[in-house]
Amino acid sequence: MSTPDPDLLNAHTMLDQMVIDDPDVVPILFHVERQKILLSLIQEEKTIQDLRTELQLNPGTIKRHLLALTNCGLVRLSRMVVNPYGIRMKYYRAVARQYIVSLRWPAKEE
Amino acid sequence: MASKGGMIRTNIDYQNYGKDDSLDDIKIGWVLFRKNLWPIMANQLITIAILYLAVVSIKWGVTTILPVPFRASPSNIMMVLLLVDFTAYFVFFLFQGRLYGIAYDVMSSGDQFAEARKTFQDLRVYGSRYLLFGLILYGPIVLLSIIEGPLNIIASGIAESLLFAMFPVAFACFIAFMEAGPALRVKRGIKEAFRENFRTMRRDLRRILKTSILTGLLCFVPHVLSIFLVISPIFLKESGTVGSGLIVFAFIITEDWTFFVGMPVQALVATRIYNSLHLPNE
Repeated sequence: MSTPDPDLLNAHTMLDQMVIDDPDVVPILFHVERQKILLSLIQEEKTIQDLRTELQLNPGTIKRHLLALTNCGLVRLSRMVVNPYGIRMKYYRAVARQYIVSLRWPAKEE
Repeated sequence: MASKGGMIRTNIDYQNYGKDDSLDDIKIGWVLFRKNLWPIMANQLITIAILYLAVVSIKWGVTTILPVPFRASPSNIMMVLLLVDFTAYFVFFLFQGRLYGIAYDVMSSGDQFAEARKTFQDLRVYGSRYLLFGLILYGPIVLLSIIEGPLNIIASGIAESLLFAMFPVAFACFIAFMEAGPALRVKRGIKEAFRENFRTMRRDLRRILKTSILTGLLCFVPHVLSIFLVISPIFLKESGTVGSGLIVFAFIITEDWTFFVGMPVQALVATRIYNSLHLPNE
């Protein structure tokens, strides 16, 4: 997978496209619930609770999906906010607006 | 693999921090309690189930395994009672500490929810902290329950008087150390959590006192009053069968209220105070 420049990924910047060339990431992307989450996070940054309300999924399930998506660089933690009630909230955002899967088999030897 | 992501911004609304909002503390504690009812209830029910199993197995062990002469000796009975007490406190402290873990998951982790399935994972990591915290927080009550038995043997009525005298001490101890609870997960160790507790108290003692007294009045005082009613011989003698039944019923209701509602709300309220005083400065 192409590695985006971390400096570009500040709180508001989103890549237009991201090329996925890691075969391990492909199954993570092609999962129905994760795709729903990713699609929602492409539109705007959201907390787990926002995603729960929107997608009607268990927050624990959402958290595990987000962990998988974050670990492979498809989603990132965009900001942390403490609301007036003293509750900390984590916002997640998709890294790119579109994901392109580019796989070669057998992989080209370096 | 791509980078995990960029910089994390922290937008904090500073305007709402540091003001004396005890009523808001309790309201938010209550709302969050209702929103996270399942993991909280699961935690409390697990506590009861394990307590029951532990006490029943000790009783079973004593009555079936130990020889009759051992069971006849008062000192041995005292030892068994102490064993039951310690086991009960061990379980109670662990799971009541986990309430602060739930409050952390809901209010401080950023995820805004807690999971019942994380209970044992949490206890494996933070169990020792929860135990020590419980021992300090409920120190006077533990002490009282240990000396209550021998005192009752020496002279009946002393334990009751002591309970009256110990109540303010126990409450003061509770207020003095309760803010260490939210710091248990945030800080590296128990020592650091207690240091943070005193820092929190120095920052807004008035709010902590006010909120604790309000929470105490709502959640704990009814049960303490019912304990006094139950142990007081005057009330039981003069209240008749119906009156005694009502007192016992009130005792059970207030006990359940304190255990299932009061303690979780108190943990959430303490965490809310801690967060509103410390999170903006992180």
